Amino acid sequence: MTPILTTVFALLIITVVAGVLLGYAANKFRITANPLIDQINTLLPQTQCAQCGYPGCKPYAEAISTGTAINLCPPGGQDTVIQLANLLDLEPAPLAADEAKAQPKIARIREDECIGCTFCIQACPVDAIVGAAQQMHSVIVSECTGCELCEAPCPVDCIDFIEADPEPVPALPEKSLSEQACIRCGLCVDACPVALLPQQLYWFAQGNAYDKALQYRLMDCIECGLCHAVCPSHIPLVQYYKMAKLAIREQDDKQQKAQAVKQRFDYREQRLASEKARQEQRRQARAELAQTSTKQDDLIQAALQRAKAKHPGSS
Amino acid sequence: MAVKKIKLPDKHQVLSTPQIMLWVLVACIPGLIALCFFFGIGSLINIAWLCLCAVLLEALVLICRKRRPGFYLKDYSAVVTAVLLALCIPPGSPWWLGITGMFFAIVIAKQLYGGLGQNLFNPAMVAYAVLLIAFPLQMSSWAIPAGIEPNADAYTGATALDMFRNERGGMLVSEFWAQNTFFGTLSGTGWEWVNAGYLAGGLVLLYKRIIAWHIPAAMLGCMTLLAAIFYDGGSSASGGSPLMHLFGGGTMLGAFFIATDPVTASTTPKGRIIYGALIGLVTYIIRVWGAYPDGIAFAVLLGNFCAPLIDFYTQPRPVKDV
Repeated sequence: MTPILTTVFALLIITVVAGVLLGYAANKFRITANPLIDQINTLLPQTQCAQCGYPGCKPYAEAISTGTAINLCPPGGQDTVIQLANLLDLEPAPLAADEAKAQPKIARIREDECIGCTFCIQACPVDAIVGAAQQMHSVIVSECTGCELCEAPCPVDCIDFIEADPEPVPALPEKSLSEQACIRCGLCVDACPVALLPQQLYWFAQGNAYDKALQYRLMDCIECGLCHAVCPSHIPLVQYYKMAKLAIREQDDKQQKAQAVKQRFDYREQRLASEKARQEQRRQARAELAQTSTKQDDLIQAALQRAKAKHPGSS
Repeated sequence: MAVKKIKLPDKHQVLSTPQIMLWVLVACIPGLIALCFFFGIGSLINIAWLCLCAVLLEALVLICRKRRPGFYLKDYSAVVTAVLLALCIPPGSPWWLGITGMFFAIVIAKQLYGGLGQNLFNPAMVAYAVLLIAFPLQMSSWAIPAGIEPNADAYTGATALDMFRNERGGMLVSEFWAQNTFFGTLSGTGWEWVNAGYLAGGLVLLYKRIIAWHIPAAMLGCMTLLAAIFYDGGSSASGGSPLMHLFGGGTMLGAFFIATDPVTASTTPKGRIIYGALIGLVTYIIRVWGAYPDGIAFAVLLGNFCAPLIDFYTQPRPVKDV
């Protein structure tokens, strides 16, 4: 009997201690916000276009974190799909929408036809349309993300979508017939006047590993061409570096633009929220006023009855 | 503030990649002659067979990868791999040993990684390690060097390093050497000359600026230092004399031809010294305390592992701190 009791007590104590510990840990180390959502959100282009079927980039990010497909974002294009796939360790699927839709566009209002209804202003997720009631509206070109959300509400159909200035797409030089494989002989290392490791940069530039290339100071390359001159495999190294630099700058631009748009979107959300709050306040004030006025009515009624009681004969 | 000094490139001195490979082949000749002199023409047969395998396998894989075999074969890198492996395996090895080795060298270690310049590991050493682990008997049966009375059957196929490891018992170094006089003066009859041949070839490569001095110097220096420290006055616990280590086994071939393979080595000046010293260190450890009589192949593969890391931490800086 005693061993059984000992066992039961021992287990009981262990269970209680473990339970307390678990309960404490669950409270102490509670994860309030999912950090993954923010990481996903920074990769999205922040156009807030809702083409993915979610009302903005943040909701889509939340949806992705719970397992929604990552290829629903046409403005982000295939690049975003690949970046998301890398982040989430998934297979990059081809973009769901057709490529034509992925081309960046800009809204333009045919201003002589605009009737000043302000519907498009309310629809714009990034406050990129200016104007007032009964006045002509206009699109701020630099802020427009081409999300097409203003098109549907327009009653006179005066909004067009025009192609944004096409960005120049650089192309790698055609592989010359004499270009052989890099054997990492290191002659370029000796030749480089700014002490780079050209063979590593070539490796990373070829593999689109731009963050690595930056770690190896790609941006310090002065494009003097000495590495190309000494290369026993006759690789036009500088061409690769130019390409990589261009791609990095483009990426940075995109990122900056996305950040700016995100700021505007966040500001708009804030503004709408505060407007709503103000409205709510006014409504409440009115309600209170109505209540006090009923009290006043009651007072008047009471006074009238008192008067009636005093002078029963009068009407 | 010190700004990096640069050597201005001279177009006329720059060799092309195929020329570099051909010079490596040429530099193998002295060592090959010594091998043939002491061990017969088995090495020549090895070279012919392995080259044939290498070229055919490389062409096959290139066709599968939809590349132009004619263009890529012209860089002679496959031939260099074949020759280096042929020099490492015992003369007169069976044909299947050679083709298995070349399959692992060319197909697995090189082309599956993306071909010349993309491989992480030295193809010849990958093949050597695979063969050594898979076929230890065939890989250690070296013929008795010429000039030695084949009276001691027990020693057939054992190299000097083998003997020193396994057959020494508790003898002093001097006793061991006295008992085995046929092992020459430094590190076994034949082997010292083979190594001297590779040393000569390596000096040619250095002179032609095909390899940098850092890796061989660091590797040999590290081995000499360790051997000197653990020589222990030739006691029964001695690790063997520095000369035995420098001129025994595959030291010189490893230092000048294997470890200096630019694709898989470190490429910064400082990194090359660390890389070479690491290979020397591991080789010595394996030879003296490890399970194999020679450890060049494993040491080089381990060095290959570390090369990217070494490169990352030894990046040159254009301007040194004031």
